[in-house]
Amino acid sequence: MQMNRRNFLKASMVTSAIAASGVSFSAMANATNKDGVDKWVKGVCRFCGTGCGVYVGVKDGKLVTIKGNPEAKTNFGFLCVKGFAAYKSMYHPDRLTHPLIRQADGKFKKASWNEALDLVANKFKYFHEKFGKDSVAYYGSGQCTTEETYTFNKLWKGGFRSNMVEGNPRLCMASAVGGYISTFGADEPAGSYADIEKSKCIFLTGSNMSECHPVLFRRVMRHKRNNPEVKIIVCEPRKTSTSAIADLWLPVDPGTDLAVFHSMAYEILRNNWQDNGFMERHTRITDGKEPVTLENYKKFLEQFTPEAAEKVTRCPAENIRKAAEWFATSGASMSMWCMGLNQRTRGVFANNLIHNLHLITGNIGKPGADSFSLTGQPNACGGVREAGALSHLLPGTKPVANDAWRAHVEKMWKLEPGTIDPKPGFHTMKMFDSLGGENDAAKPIKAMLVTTTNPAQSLPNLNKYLKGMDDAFLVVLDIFPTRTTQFADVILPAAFLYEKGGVYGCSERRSQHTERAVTPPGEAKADLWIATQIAKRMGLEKLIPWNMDDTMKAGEMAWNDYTDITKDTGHTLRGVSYQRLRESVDGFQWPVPTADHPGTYKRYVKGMDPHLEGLQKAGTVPADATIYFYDDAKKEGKANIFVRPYQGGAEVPDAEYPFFFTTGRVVEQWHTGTMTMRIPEIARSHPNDYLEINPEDAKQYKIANGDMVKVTSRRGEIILPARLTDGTMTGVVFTHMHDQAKERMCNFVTNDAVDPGSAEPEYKIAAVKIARVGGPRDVADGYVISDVNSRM
Amino acid sequence: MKKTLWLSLLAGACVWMLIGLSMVTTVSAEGSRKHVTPMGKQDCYACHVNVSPTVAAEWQESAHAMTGIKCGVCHGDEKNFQSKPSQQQVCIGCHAAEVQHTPEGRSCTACHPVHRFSVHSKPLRQ
Repeated sequence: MQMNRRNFLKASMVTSAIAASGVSFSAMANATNKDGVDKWVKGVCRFCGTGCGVYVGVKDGKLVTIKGNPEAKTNFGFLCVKGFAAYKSMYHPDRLTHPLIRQADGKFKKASWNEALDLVANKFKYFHEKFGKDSVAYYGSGQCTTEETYTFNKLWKGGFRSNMVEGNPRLCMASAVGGYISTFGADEPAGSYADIEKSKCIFLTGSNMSECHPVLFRRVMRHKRNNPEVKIIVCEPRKTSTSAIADLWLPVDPGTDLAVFHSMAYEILRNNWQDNGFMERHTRITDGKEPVTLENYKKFLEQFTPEAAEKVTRCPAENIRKAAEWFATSGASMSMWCMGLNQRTRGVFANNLIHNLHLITGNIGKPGADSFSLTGQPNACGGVREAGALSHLLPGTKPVANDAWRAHVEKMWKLEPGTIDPKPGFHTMKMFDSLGGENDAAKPIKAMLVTTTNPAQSLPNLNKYLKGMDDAFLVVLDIFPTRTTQFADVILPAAFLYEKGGVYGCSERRSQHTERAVTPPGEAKADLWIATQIAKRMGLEKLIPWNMDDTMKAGEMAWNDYTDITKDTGHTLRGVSYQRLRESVDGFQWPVPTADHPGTYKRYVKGMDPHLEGLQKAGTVPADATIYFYDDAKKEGKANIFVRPYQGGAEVPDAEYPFFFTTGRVVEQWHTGTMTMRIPEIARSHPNDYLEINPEDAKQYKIANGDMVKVTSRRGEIILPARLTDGTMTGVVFTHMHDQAKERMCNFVTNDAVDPGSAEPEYKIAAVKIARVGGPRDVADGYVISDVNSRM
Repeated sequence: MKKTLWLSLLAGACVWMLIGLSMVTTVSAEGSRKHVTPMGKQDCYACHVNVSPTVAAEWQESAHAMTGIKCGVCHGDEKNFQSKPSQQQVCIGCHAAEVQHTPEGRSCTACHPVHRFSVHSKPLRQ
């Protein structure tokens, strides 16, 4: 049987009947011998935040191939190299297959699950008794499923009563969260990927989209090809492959793009290109504390003429003028950005300024117009952000300090009033800075559980934090040996997404389900099972009763528990039962208030947003409102246009450290490379990180292509081979974040200064000096950490 | 690949022509086979820009290149190299709906030159 929509719909009906009969879903999938597989199982890619729908092919109980889901609204069947090759890493011999416990001699020893889990639970109880509830922290990931993230969050905040809960989206997306909430009152985009094909102008900033979100970039590329009049503007320090189809490049020194955004606003208002009606009905101008009149906003912007901005940024004034005109007059402008905007001490401000451009031109709430934050992880949105697994949040992305919401969650969790701590825990950098040994009075956090992330490689200013991980009682859940496992006391082998199943929620508010396709190797287990077993051993099975071995059934219970909390909010997934999710070919975009609702393409717009319509029926929102930001803190339904002072990076080049240092990705590699570097086709394409440097700078420092260059910041140094490229501005050097070899790990150099609004670190900006230290060396080793007992 | 072989033939002696003919026959077969020269660790493109410059240049300008679909995605690596990738194993990864509708016995590349990817469109940029 060929997989097509009609057959899939028929299969879905059969699925309902089979579900009712209790037969496992895994046993039911469409088989087609022509493809050389026994069955295709529906799922999602486990890499970036695009949320590409996939089918994985299973033969003889083993995953042997993968294909895109042509009916998925995210990727329409296309995959990038990572998604296409991901499953190959599942069968790498380095897989962790047994629990490991560090012995007195410092080496790891195999242990049974009972031994390991008992040790973890007993240690946590011990630290709770001796040092209090906040002495044990959780550090999660945008790569855990929603069910897993929700469960860990509930265990900590409801069970341990501790807000020492963080996740790696703090390192990459927290400024986007801060931007959305401060501007619109609620997190996540108003619009969808579908706006790409309806847009007339696309503004890409703080993102090398062609490498970081290649499948979405493909949509942009095809839209441009099919509609040559659509304008593509790219604003970033490097002229990358993303610029290949751009009509305009706005080069900016790292950290200075706020001046460009202000300058665009200046040009728009000077030329009267703004949408006065939209501004009057749907926005207010504010400095964050007091209202600001339009006249005073214009006065504020006068310091950002294009010429003044050019002095600060090196972006040609004429380019700024052109960008402002195109953005304001296209009729439907969409912006998209990622870590280049977020990983800054002014990341929230940068996000606000992009939203400003949309608000003053009315480019929001209509087809083709949206300010859209791309995300780097598959479930940063659906899991950590929406399920509230950060130190200051609760499920539903509302603060622990919100008395009414805290009471609501306590009620839903059947906890005594006052159980949940209203005081936020520590953000990631403070959390790791507070982590240490049992006898270190200066370190209040004595233990930490880390899952599906690699902080011993991914944290900025890495030298500062490794000792804390080493000294504390560290529990690590992962599928491969990583730099972080080398600092652990207990390593618990985890399952890959296709070995466990679960929900991922992508950048456009879409939750999609992955069915478990195969069994994990050895004794590896789903994180969900691990979390619930810890809860059980700590006497919390009433709070978290889904501790059965069938993680699909457990996942359903967790999902129902979670969606019950947010059912009456603008985040509602009440209409998305687990069964509906499993039957769906492409998932659902919240808000989804009822079981027959198809999902929401655009929020805040009458006729599109069911939550808005519900509020209008209830009388809490004016019935005649066509656009209404219902989570506006002032209850006026307006979005905030922010007057934000300009400020560059926390650390900028000077005489001693004359270069900007910035980091990013390549299309083949995923984050710290633990999975992708284990795939030969990918390791060949990018076996090591290298330093991109402008030929003029290279000449001055006598650096030739391939020479080894030492890069030194105030915090550390690395040595990388040079690659000369005109794509990098003079005075800026760039490298990647994927290399596991200690000598080349970029985060010894990066800065851990954080945004005061979001606590997100400024990875993208540091001041460094460079020096040639030798001729070419063969560093193309595709280095992976295989030995948990080593520190090499 | 064929260009490489013919260049080799031109440079070779009569005895090599016999071996070359055999290799030509082998090259046309679909499926896994060992890469003509050991791959070592270098990037495919870095070598093929010299060995098969026309194909390399075509790919560099293609939609595949623009979205990061590099050589190894379709052709594999040392252990799973395919000079002519199977559409049922490779193209289906991103083009499942199209592969499903492929006429019996036809291959994708019969009509769609994958390195240029321009059958249904004008080039992105002139």
